Parts: sequence; C-alpha cells; structure tokens
Amino acid sequence: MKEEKNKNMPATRAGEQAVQNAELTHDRPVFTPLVDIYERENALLVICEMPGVEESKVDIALENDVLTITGQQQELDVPDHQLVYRGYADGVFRRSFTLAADIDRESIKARLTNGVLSITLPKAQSAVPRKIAVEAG
Amino acid sequence: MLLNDVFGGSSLSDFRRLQREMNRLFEGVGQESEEFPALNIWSNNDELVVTAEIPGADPKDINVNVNQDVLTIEGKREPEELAEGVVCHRMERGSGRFLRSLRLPFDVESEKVQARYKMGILTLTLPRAEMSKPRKIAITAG
Repeated sequence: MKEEKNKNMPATRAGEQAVQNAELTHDRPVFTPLVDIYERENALLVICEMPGVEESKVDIALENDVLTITGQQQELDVPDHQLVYRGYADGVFRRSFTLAADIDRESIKARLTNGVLSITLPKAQSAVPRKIAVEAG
Repeated sequence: MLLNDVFGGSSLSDFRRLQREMNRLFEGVGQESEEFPALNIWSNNDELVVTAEIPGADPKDINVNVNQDVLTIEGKREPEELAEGVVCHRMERGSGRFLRSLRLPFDVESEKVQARYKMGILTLTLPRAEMSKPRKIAITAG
C-alpha cells in the first residue's frame, strides 16, 4: 500500500533530483541535498541540508579523495491519518565530492542540528599554507 | 482563423489548453519557482497534520498563524556567518524570509493548534473545530 503510493507520487523536491549513480539495493528515491562549502586556511567546511534525518542515520565516508555523505530520512507516516497533499517525498540524501586538499582524517568532526549537517574537515599539516618569511639582504 | 479552418472550430482552444499545460509543466523546473517550505498534509475526521521541511531554522524564528481556516507559516533562516578569510566554494542553501499560506478544508480550533520543530521538520497538529464537524441527524419514524 505504502509502496504503491510512493510510486504514483513524483518525488519532487526543491533543487534535488534523483541521482542515478550507485543505486540502492532497496527501493527508495535518492535526493541530492543542497550544500554550502566553505574553506578556511586550515579546514574545509561542508554544510548539508538533511531535514528529517536522525543522527544515527547519517553516514560520512572519506575514501581516497572522495567524500560521500549519506542520510536516510525517516519514513513519512502519521498513524491513523491519510495523506491528502504531498509536497515532498521521503528518501535518501546522498552526495559525493572530490576534495582538493589533503584532509587530516582523524580530526573530522560532524554535527547535525535542526536538519542541517555541518562537517569540519581539518586540512593535513602538509596542506596548510605556510608563510615563508623573506629575508632582506 | 487558419487553424480553425484546417482543424475545425475547437482546435484553437485545444491548442491553447495544451500550451497552458506545457507552461505549467515547466513552471516546476528549477528551485526558484518551488514554494518554500515544502508541505505534506495529513488528515482524519478530527484533525489535520501539516509537516513542513524547514532545515536550518531557529524555532524562535518560525511563526505559525491560524485564522479560522487559513494557515500561515512564516519565518526566516539566517545565512551562514562567515569569518574573515573564509572562501565560499558553493552556496546552494537558501536563507532569508519565507511565507506560505493555505486554506484548510475546515475551520480549526486555533487555541489548540500544536507546533513542534524537530530535525528541520515543522509538524503542526490542527484540531477540527467542533462546529465544522459533520453532524449525524437522527431520523424519527412516524
């Protein structure tokens, strides 16, 4: 019943389309989450919108230079109620980025607040720009 | 005119209808025209449940108003504060004010409306006003 409903309703979401690469084994729509990416001198900051995702359902992986963020949304269901209007569907958020800088893998930090995931990726010492003093003379 | 002659009287209006439908089809493309926040609405005999995806808002900045059968969700999302020396590579997330207003299928008890904001999802429970509930009329024989 639930699955049929999902199939008939298009999975529309602002700025997000289902992506085709690396399919999931189970049948859930995959959305591209909206992100902001900032770079500080010593760290990279990735901010990713994941509404309806619990902390335990977030997966962050850094393999070689590819950062992959996955978040499984809670299934939409209000017991004893009927869905009468659908403006968004539930599914899986997934996105990958190739990182340019060397990252200190041990010190990656992530925090999920109000449906927004913030990942701080500190640069490895070798990637932090060093100031070279120029001697006069 | 010419179209009428070739395809018969009703074809021009058919064509216009098709054109309208095509326009509507493409309206949804691109996030600008998408209404924010996206809503889902659930219902049963006693209440409506409205859920809205509003990632990254401060609950203090979200206002919900109910006036009889009109629901208004309004608020703002603060843009990321950037320290000096920070370079921005991508900025896809939205910020700023939003407002969405909709007419509900029945009057609701505005004092009993509940709102909860969790994991970036706003959930509103709107109990149906007693007055608007369908009443069964007993028919007496005789």
